[in-house]
Amino acid sequence: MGADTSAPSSAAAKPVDSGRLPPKRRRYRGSIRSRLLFWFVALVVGPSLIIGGAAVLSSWRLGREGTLDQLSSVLTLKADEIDLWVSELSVNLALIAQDGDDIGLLQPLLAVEAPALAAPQALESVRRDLKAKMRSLRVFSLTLVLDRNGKVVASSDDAYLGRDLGGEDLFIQGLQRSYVAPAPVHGPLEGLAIVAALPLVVPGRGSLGVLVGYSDLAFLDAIMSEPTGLGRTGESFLVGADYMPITGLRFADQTPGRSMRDDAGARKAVDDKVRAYGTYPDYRGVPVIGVCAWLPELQVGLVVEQDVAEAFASFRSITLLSLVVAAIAVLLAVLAASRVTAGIAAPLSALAWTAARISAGDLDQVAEVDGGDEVGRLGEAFNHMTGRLRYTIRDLTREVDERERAEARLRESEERNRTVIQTAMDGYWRVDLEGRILEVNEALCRMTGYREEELLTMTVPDLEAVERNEETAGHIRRIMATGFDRFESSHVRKDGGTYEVETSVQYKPEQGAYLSAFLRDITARKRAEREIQASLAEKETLLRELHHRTNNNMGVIIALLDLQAEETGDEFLRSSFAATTNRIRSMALVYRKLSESRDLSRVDLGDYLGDLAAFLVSELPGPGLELTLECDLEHPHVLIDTAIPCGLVLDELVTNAATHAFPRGGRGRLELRLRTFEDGTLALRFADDGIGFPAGFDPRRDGRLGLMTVVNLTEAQLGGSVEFRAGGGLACELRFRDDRYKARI
Amino acid sequence: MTMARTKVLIVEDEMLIALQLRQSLAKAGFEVCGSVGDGETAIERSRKSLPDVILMDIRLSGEMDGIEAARRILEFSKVVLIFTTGHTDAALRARAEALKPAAFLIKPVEIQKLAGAIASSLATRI
Repeated sequence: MGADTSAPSSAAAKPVDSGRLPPKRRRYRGSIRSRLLFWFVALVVGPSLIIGGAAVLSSWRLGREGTLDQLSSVLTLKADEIDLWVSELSVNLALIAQDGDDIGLLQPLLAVEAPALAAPQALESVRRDLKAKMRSLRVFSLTLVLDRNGKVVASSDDAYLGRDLGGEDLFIQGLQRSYVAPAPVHGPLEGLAIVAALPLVVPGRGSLGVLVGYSDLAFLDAIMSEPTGLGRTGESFLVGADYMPITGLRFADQTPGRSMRDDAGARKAVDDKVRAYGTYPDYRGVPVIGVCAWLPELQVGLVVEQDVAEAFASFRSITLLSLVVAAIAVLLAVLAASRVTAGIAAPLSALAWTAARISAGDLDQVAEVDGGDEVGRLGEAFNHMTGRLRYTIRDLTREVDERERAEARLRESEERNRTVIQTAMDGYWRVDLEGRILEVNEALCRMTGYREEELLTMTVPDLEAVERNEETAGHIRRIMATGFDRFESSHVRKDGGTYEVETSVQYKPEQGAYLSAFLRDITARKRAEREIQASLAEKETLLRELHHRTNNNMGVIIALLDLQAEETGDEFLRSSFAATTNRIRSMALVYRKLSESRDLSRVDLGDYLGDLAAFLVSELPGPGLELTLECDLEHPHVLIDTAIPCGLVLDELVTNAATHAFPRGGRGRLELRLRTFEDGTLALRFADDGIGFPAGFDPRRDGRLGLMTVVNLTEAQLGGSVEFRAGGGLACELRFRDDRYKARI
Repeated sequence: MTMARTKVLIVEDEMLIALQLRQSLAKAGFEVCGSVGDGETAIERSRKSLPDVILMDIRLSGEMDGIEAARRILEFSKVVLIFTTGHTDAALRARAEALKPAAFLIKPVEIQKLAGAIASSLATRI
């Protein structure tokens, strides 16, 4: 009850969702065939053996009971015969006694009572009578007449006369009643006899003596030796209360004179004085089945036995036959099971063998199965599966090969990269995102003066001479954002010296959280660059100084010409000096613009021409003339070789306008425009609203120095074209390009 | 009563240019109180002549350039300062502009521009 009540609480305390548990897999030992064979045989033979065993057991029990019944019948029969024989002894003794009453048996007794009556003839008569009766009855071998004191007074054998048997049971009992018992061992027949006693009673006088008759054992032996119902090994015998055999033993030669105490049947009959049966070792030690009984009339035990071997011979035959049949059945079952299991297991074994071959790498194996049963379908499914597996494995093998080749290529590439890195002239480091150095090459060791193991314990800021730590961290963040950077910096050597480096750094997050950088010692290059820059600056200074001095020298020339012009009173010469100084001034302005320009070789043409025109317009007009200038100028940068002719042409055109276009003075309007076309052509247009050319005037033919200068400078020096147009003033348009000359600086 | 003419001191190491300026200014009605070629002399002449206007070239012969000479002159004089130079670089110009000159003329100096600059500076000064 306790177990029944505790089980539910245990289950409640520890719930198990058995539905979600994976099925428990049993592990079997041995092959399927052996297991099938075992169970087949067990299921077929086991019940057969049980049934056969039950049948054998039942047969054994029936055989045993039958044997016991038979032996019991024999015992009963022999007991009845003995009983009948004992009865005959008493009857025969009574017959003798009755005869004695009539003639002479009482004579000896009466003689004892009255010795005077005793007569030798009477005793002789009694003795002859007894002998005659013994012969006629053939029952007794000795007869005795005992007196009231137990003394033998008459006998069929004179040798017993006078003996005193007064202490014997036969006398004591026989004096009272009819008595039958084995004779005492020390009796007259040495115990091998049955004694019967009968009181001799004289009416009115009581018992005067006892009639005793001894019978030998021949009759009992005859009864006991009767083999009917005892088979080949059976026997029956009588045993006395002292366990000694009374009748003959069938196998007495094997146990001469021995006590029957060792025979369980005899001991049972003597000790317990009951009827019993059983299987036990007999007096020889041979297993027997026996029945015993105590015969109280005779005070002997009767034992009937038969060897177990014979008693159960039929049972053994049946058992043997059953065993043979069972063995044959088992054999047949094994053969049948073997055949059946072979039919089941062989295809499975073939599948297993094929699977083993496939697992060993032989992918071309095909399971040879046929038939439409489950195993056949399993084989087909297996072959289909292995076919798919074959393709899959081949695909995988191909992929693995490809991957191995790729990995090999990668390893080679990495090895090459490592070799390149290690043999590179530039330093190399790989750092993590915190700036810790993870890998360096020999060149970096040479550059820094540190050993590799020292560098691998350092960080970028440890080597950085310019950037502060937070600047370096910010630098790393920017590189992580852009993926690449190239910059210049300065590092500190182990000896404290510094060197300049150009760092080319790359960050590819897909390759890992680190930065790879090549560092080039650019100390020498930077020094050279600085020297070059210094040299360039010096040359630039010199060039600017040259332009400046040219400008100044032209100023000096202008001053000289002005002073010279002041010396002359000739107005023509003064105007010629003025024209010349204006031309020089136009050139000087170019050099001034050049000295102000960025590259010292090109000037802003629009700026230059605008300034020049403004100067000329303010300088040239004579009294009574006021000129206004409208400029619409683009700003191409041109070489000095282009700018100077342009300035000179503009000088001539403005001079020409100031001199000839407005002869009556007044207000004049000048227009200057500079355009740049897509093909690089420059168009400079100058116009005035003066009187224009006179009719038939050809500037090329009729022009004076000024216009001739315009034409020649434009066409010969600039390689361009010039076009004059009169009407409402004079217009002149120049078209030229800036590619006639090459830069000289 | 005639008004005193404006006295101009020319500081220019190119003597031909100085001569031309002298003639041109004189012709324009100015009184040229001197023409010197170095800074030290310019300082000395400024003390003596007390010019109204100094036409100061920046690049001069001697150790002192025109800007330094002008700075020293301005320490003791309120003269109108007009720089003339062929140099137009920014640094030089910044140094010169620090002295707040009345004009900064690029050589070759145009006489009309020079005269106009002197006139306007004096007018401003008055």
